[in-house]
Amino acid sequence: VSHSDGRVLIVGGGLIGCAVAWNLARNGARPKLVEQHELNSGASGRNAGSLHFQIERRFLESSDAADEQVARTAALSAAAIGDWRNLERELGANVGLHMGGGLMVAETESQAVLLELKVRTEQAAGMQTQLLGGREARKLCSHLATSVIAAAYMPEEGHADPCRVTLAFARAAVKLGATVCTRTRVAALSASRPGGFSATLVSDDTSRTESFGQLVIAAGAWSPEVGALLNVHLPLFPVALQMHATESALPLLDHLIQHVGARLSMKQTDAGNILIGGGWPSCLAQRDGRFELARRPQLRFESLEGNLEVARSIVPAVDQLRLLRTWTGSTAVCSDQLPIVGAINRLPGCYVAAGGSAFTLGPTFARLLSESLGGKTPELLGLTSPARFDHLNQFMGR
Amino acid sequence: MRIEVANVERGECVAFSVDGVSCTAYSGETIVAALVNSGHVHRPNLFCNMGVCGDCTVQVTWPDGTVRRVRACLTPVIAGIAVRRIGNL
Repeated sequence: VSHSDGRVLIVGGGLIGCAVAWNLARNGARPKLVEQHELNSGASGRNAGSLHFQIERRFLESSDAADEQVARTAALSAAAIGDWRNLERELGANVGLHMGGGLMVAETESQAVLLELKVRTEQAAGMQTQLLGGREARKLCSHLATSVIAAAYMPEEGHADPCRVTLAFARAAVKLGATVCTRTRVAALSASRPGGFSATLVSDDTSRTESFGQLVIAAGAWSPEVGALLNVHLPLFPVALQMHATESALPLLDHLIQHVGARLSMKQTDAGNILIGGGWPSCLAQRDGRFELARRPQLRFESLEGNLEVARSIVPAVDQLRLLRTWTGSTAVCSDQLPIVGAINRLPGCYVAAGGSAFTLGPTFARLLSESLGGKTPELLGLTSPARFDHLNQFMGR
Repeated sequence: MRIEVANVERGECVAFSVDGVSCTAYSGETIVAALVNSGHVHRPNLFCNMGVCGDCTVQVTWPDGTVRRVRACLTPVIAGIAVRRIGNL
């Protein structure tokens, strides 16, 4: 089988995998996507749906985020804003998209100083963030507590429904000729001599080996296992988080709310529920001293209490709402906190997109990765290139 | 959500309101049954109808003036309540 047959295998039926399938299919390709469980069953469907374009709190903690990195992150965010704006129209689907603005709040003087520095950095990188005082912030969002003394406002932030986005991509991709196989596992992968890959795909009752011209690994926290099938290290580490939904309430929050000094994300869905998250840990399952992704992470009660306490202190009205659901999910984080998206140089035709931030940036990563598969080298993926980990693979042989 | 056959004995007719519009229901029905029967809620929008999903949460002003959110599928309708729909209901 020659490289030129051009068939693409996508491993992973999350947001990125389904969005890559759609991008390729609309350019006339007939990609095949395989997913070991069901579509959207991993982090893509279990996150809290924030579209956060401001620099994340976790990047402010490590003080020396280089200017160049901030500029490149800002450029990715700007691209993502454009991609989300057009998404519902292009997919012909309602994905619960709401881009009504986002506020990252500060309660103490030192947090306000950090926020001001953040806004200056963002503005220098061309982002539209504005610094507001507490009163101005409460003018935008009347339910913010009086303890909020400053807020960074970005008009494009918001949220979308994680239960709908991936499936909308998948449906649109299938309509354009993509093939989606769920409950199908990749049992073996090998690079063929003239280029291309052969993959052994196993479902309940069948096992078959097929050839593909190109391969996309978009398996989230499972991506290192897929990489191992090709003798490649991908330095991604599983992380377990938990999120909460309150009962529905009358309209209360039109904005995405985050906190510069505490883990918090809050938004109100169109059904009226308040979703509360912000990166509070749950507990990864383990067996024989190893983390086990196949089992659901365990809830941490301290995280539940802590998260709800921050939510209550910033939007006191949620104190009146009953907690309806708490759920856990796992994602993956890379050793340098940036996602890994791009071509794997040592394996021509093999691409990867994994490592977190992939709800907000997922549609953009998928679009850019599809351009890479088409032979381009998108500048925006410079920041996330797998090439930065070539040193980890230098002893892996060919 | 109301069996329409002859010779059914129903509770007394009670008046209440939904988003300011006056309606009636029979005592013994749940608020959600009353909302469906008065045409305010499309039945497929109800998910579990047994108190688990919370999708039928409404805000109710009771005759004594207290305001509470309740699951409409578990709460009997009574005379004089003012129901306010929330979200997608």
